[in-house]
Amino acid sequence: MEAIRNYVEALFAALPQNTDTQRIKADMLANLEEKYHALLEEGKNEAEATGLVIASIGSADELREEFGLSAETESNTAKTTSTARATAPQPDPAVAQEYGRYQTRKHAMIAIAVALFILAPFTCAFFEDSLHLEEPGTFLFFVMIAAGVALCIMSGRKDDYYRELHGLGCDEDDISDREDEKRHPISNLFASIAFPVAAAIYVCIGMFYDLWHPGWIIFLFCSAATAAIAAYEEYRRRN
Amino acid sequence: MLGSDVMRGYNDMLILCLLCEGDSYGYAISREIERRSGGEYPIKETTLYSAFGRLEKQGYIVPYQGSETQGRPRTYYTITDEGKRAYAAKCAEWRVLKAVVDRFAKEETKNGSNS
Repeated sequence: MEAIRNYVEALFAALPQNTDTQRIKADMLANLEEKYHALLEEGKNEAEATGLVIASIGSADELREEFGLSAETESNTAKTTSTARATAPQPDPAVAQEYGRYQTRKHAMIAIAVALFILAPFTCAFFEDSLHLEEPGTFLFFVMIAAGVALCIMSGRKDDYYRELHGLGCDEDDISDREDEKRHPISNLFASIAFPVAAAIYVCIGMFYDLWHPGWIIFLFCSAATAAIAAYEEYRRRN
Repeated sequence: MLGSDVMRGYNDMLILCLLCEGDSYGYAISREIERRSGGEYPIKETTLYSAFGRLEKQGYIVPYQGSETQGRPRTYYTITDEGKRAYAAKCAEWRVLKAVVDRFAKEETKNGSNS
């Protein structure tokens, strides 16, 4: 009977633990126990009876179909991602190639944008300090920031097109993002607030007090704080 | 022996049929299905409980706690009026399905022409 109980436990381990499945499990166990005793009365030995009972249980897939993807949020995410995967059409090889080129271009654009963001204050400072040209320096600063922002926006503009039409580039990143969000809700919230605030502070102290350097350290603090919160959340989740 | 994939779609009907005759519980239902099928269809536990879950959600059957066996409370099921209507509809569907499939099951003539 112990072997049967273990088998049923393993069968239900993959299902969400709610009152429904708990009741079904207890009920199924009671039935199997009755069946087991009936087989013993028929003259089977314990090993035979155990074997026959386990053979009559069936597959976990069937239970999962009926009870698996219920109201639980975790299984809901799994469901949406799996249906997204299932319905995503097989990408056409030509489109996949084009998508590869698009990805390379996108990464290059983002790299250039980041370089522009980093160089903008230095260029501005160079114009002001070495050439003593304040207005062109400030003007150039804004042009570079604007160009960087434009590149960032342009780089991702075709993402949705590829994702929706060809089911490309949507699974792994999205799933890990979503899982990450679920695992680190506080640090994600913190990061989403802290970074824009930091950027605003950085621009303000840079413009008004000319503290571009060492003002940029604020970003390091933000990253460090986010990482620390995430680590703390991970630690708490594991214990 | 019939597998659950062949019986797919008719497990619910078998259970409703037995419950029409009176309230029953898991083991008695599975034993009765196997007995009436002449051992041709030993229904799997997972098939049975998936069907219970489905029928319950549809409002065709209602569970209640019955007497205890070996210290465990036993869940009995009773059929609702809606369940009886669903059973009648399923029976009607089966008669049509049976007639249709029968028209394509001409084993003898095929075998005869081959030999």
